[in-house]
Amino acid sequence: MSFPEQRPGFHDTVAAGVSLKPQHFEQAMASRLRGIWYEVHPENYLMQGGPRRRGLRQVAADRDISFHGVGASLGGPDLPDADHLKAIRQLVDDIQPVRLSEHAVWSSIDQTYLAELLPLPRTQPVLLNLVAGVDVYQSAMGRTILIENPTNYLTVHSDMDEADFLLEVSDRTGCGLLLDINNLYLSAHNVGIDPKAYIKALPPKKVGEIHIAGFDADPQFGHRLLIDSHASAVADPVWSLLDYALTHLGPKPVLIERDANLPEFSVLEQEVHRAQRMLDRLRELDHA
Amino acid sequence: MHDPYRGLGDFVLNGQADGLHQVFSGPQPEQVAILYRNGYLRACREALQARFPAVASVMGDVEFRKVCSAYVQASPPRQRTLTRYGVDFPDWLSTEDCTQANPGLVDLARLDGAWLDCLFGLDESPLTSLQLNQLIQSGGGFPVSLRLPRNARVVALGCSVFDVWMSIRQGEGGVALPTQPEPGHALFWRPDMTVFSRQLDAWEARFYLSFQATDSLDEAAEHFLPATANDRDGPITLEKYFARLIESGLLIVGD
Repeated sequence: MSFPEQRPGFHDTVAAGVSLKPQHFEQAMASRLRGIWYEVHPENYLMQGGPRRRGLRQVAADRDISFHGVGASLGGPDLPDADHLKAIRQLVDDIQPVRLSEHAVWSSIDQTYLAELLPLPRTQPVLLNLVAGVDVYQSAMGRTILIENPTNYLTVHSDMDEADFLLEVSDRTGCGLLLDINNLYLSAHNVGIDPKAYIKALPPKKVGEIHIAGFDADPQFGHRLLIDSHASAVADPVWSLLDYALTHLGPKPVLIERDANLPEFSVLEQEVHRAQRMLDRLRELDHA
Repeated sequence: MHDPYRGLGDFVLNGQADGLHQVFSGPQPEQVAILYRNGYLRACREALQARFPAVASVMGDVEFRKVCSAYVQASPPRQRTLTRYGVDFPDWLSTEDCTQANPGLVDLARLDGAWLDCLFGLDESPLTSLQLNQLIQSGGGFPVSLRLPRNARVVALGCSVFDVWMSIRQGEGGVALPTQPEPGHALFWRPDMTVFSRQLDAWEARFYLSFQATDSLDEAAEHFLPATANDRDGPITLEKYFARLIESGLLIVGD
């Protein structure tokens, strides 16, 4: 199946962005960072109206917005819920995000939503489920999406490695990949995969966006188990892995993800600025 | 063939660890997989806390967590977003032991829920007196079809908790819930981006319930029966009441 590419944005250069929360709407509109863009979880805006939805519409009027879904359960035992897809599509039509992405995970069983990004066993039957889920999602949206690699806390019984699994889904559906560097770093730490080999396995043209975020040590296991908390600043090893990824993949939109323990917006802007400098440097090297 | 989802699904939903070995390798996967179950319970609890802040405040953290765990077990989320999770929480709460001695908690939950539903409801522009005058002067006449905003909510209460609810929502502590039944109603509406609310007299409740059900101001007006013949501006006539509806942003020109 073939779908249109993601829609063009306000800016034609690849830039860095940050997760957007309602408490930061005003600062987001006032930000003077060149090319800054914002990402939201569309599930948090599926209301009929009110200030939250209006605020997002106002930001979207002059900034690029991308949608990063968390509720579709793309690889789950059931196909993505039709009512959910309809609601997301209405929001897409309203806000016109530049990119749509979801997670290569599952989160729903027997019509119950588990509100967690659960890992998929990378087997042929599950691959078929994920392909079907992505196909249905893309059909409902009328455009291609990006799917994100999960954080692994445990080793899942699987027949193929994660990069191959996601690339196979991409080949069969036409979807792109969202490379979450923080997830990759944590998976490497928690279950022992080689993050650089993973990155090298990804053809640059397949990757449409990159995420970085903060993590925390598990309260029970300490630093033996690192949690994808999105509640702290991006850690140095993640910045380093981002640098490696950008060198291999070339410039890609980079998102600073922050969902909890929100700092002042200016603090987030500093992280965006740092990511932007890395993108700029890459471009300079390209021109040299 | 084993089900690649059931083992983890059962663990997240019910804490049953038997099937985890079908999904994960290594010994005692439940020690780490508890992350997923805790994440699920936390997400549901946070959604309930966001929807029912007054209830959470009165119950206190320990009791509210206990109640949330029981509710999540009884009524897990069905929609793939938690923004509306807990719509039936007040009804469920009314069957729980903790509310037998404290029935006002159920009413607080109804008020909390109505406030959020109103906030997230449809955006509509209410009829203004200026627009009404322009309509009449331009020969368009009096708008035939008027209705309440779709974001309006009329809430039936078993106890008189509206003032208490307002105090809690304004951050005042140390409020006591009434325990004796005293039925009443409250109205929520949102003319723009701010939710308004007030208590209703008995006749007003009938007025708004009728108005909401029929979209007919004429039918609603049959319930117009102010208990006091006068207020500070003189007798409350239907015309005056109509003007107040416009002033409050409670009238929408229908289709």
